Amino acid sequence: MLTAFRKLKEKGIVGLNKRNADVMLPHNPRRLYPLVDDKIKTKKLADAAGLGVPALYGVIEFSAQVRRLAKIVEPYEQFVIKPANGAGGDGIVVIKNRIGDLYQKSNGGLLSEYDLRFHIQNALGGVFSLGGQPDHVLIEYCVQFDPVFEKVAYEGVPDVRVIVFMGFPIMAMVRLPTRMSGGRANLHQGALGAGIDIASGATLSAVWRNNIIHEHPDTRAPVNGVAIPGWQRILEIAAQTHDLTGLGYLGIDIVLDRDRGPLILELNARPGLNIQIANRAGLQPRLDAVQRTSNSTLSIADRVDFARQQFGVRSQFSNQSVGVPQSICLQ
Amino acid sequence: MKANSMRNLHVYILSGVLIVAALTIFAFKVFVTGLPLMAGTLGSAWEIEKRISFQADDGPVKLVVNIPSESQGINIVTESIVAPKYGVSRSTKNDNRQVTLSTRKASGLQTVFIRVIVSLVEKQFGETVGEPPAVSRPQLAEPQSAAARELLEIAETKSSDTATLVPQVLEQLSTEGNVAKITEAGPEVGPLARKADAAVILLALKGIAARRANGIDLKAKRGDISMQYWLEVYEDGKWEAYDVDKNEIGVPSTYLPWSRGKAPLTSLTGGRDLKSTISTIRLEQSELEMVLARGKTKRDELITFSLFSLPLATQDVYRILVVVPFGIFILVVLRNVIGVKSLGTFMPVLIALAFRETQLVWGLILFSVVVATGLLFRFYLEQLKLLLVPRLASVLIFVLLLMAVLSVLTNALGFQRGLSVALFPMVIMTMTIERVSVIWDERGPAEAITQAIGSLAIASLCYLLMTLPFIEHLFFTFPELLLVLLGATILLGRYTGYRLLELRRFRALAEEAP
Repeated sequence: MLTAFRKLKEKGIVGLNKRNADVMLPHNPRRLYPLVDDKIKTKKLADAAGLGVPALYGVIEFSAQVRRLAKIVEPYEQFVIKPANGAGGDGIVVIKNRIGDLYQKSNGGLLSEYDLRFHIQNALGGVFSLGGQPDHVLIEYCVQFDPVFEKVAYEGVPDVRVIVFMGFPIMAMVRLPTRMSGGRANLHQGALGAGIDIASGATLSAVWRNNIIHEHPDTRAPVNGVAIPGWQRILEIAAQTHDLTGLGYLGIDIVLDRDRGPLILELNARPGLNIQIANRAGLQPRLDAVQRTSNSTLSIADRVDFARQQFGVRSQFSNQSVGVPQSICLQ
Repeated sequence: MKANSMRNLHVYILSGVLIVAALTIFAFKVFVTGLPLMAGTLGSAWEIEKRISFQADDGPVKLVVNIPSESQGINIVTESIVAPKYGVSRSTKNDNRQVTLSTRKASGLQTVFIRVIVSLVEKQFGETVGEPPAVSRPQLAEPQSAAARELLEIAETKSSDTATLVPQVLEQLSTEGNVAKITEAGPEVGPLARKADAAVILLALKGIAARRANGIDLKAKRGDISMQYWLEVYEDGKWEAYDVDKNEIGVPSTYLPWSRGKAPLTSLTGGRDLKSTISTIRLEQSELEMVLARGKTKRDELITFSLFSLPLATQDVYRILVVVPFGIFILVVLRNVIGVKSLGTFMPVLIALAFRETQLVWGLILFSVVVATGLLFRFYLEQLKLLLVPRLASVLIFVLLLMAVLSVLTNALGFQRGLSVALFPMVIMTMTIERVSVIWDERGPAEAITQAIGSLAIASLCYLLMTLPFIEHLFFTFPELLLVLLGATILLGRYTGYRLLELRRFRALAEEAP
């Protein structure tokens, strides 16, 4: 057991205690959290800075406004309902179709307007928010996902998660929905996380339920070697969110829209640690490298350049993984 | 990184100071005050009662009584004087503690009681003896003086220092008639007392301070309490006791000194027919109670300002409360070092508190029944699409009804334990039901049941550890240990190592070649 701990340490794997005590607490001042916890604030902030976000259709702030729902969504065939302070993707409903009076979810399930209203009421009451606080609900544009991930995503919208430390994008992965995750892109709900080579923007192997895999469990397509379009732009957006929010340690979720390019879905001040399994690499060496530069005056472009030079995966590794995919499921 | 190490240093110093300070107080209370580490340790205690009766002369009465003082092996726990209508004042005179009882006018038979509870102690640190006592050379008339010189000369040839001289002096005085050569026969004292007095005179001639001690043997058979006399000699800053019968150093540890010197134990003015009897009873009293009683008598701040000074009902509350931090500490270890998940941060500790009343097995059964039935109700409510707060309130009302029904049912079936379901925190159970049902919806039944069982397992562990009598006694008697917990918790707050269960989470990475 001790050798296992030592091995993890040698790889620079950051554990929860270390993330909380040494990374989050010192670099993320409490007062900045509402900026990222409240998705409405995040959206306005990013929008004002000229960063792409899914368009906001409407906000429901209290119960009496729920009857406006029909009016808000009337012009749109597809839309997404989100609790503003939702934690871990809970409470998000994606409507893909309208069938008569009914709304069809991305997984095919049908909901009446009454069901939707009840869901929103629950969300307003705080069922999905951190600590059960009363919440707001936002209704927004449903992302039309880029075909780049068509073969490696089961329903739902894959999103790219970039970890930004002190303004430097240090690690990234793409989260691919599976049948198990019900079309959602959250790892703890069963989505797949594929590491991304920061230098090239191509996917590496993936983690699924804490195991390392090389092909999508539903589509059987290889998950590695998929090049993410507009990678430089994604890294720049990620780096810029640090300047917007002031948070030192941040997870940025970006979706690739077919028509509108990269859109910021949400920011996370407590990004999870599974990204290390997806990348088969620890965060610690990269955190250290950023801290060693200790040059906070670098421009966004310079920081992205630094990251692409420093945190790329060795070329032989990415070549190898693009080859014949093997499914190794470590138990 | 520099700020980080500064912060760590701060944490180490803070928790170090807390832990060291707490352990110092703890050690002081254990070793000096003598508070027992284990609950229920029985100490050796005696209750001594001196009954004094006399006929008052229908006028002012003054009675001066010697009361026992502490010795190396004996502590006085409490003392009380039962003398109605008498004014009581205490004083110390010639190494003796005295009580003066006085009244303006008394007539007829008077009876007063002096009750003292004493305990034998194993250890006694630093016996307090002040300056060496001044020795005044006795002026003896010629026949005594010559006899004394002769006896001392023989004794001195057979000894080298005070410790060896005293037994030799006593040896010389054992010879028939030798005591009479030194002292004149006193009125009411026995031969051993006279022998001790003679030894005091001989030693004074050599400039050695000595005194006669008068007392009783606590181990003496009941109804056969006679005065014991022994010799105390000042050597190297303390008084050493010598047995004047066996002519050797040391007296039994059960000898309780009542007075020193030749002064009578009791003196009376304004009365006659003075009689006194002494009786002793062995007490079965816990060591803790004795230390506490003694602390109260002596106004020891550590006892006066402890939890023991609270009213009993409040003490009972604190007995439960002081172990809560211990349970919380276990929870911190389980969550941050082991990495176990639980429903709600402190929920398992609160459940563990409820288990105190229900006992473990019944607690687990009752809790599971209430939560499972509550969950069914919660799933039923799901169909009604109620808003959050009214839904929680409905579940709470249902939980309360369920508890009432369980109490009535189990009572009717004759299981008394079932009644204690009433002590479960119903808000906690309601929140548990809500949490489990949300996890059930969001992450599936397997995760929900795993977390619920995990929480119950943590609660059981906390219960088992929190109810150890040793733990309860320790934290109630030594609340400063809570500072040790605080220090350790602060330290854990900067524990940045892996959690044990992260080993499983990252095992795929640990197994890979680096």
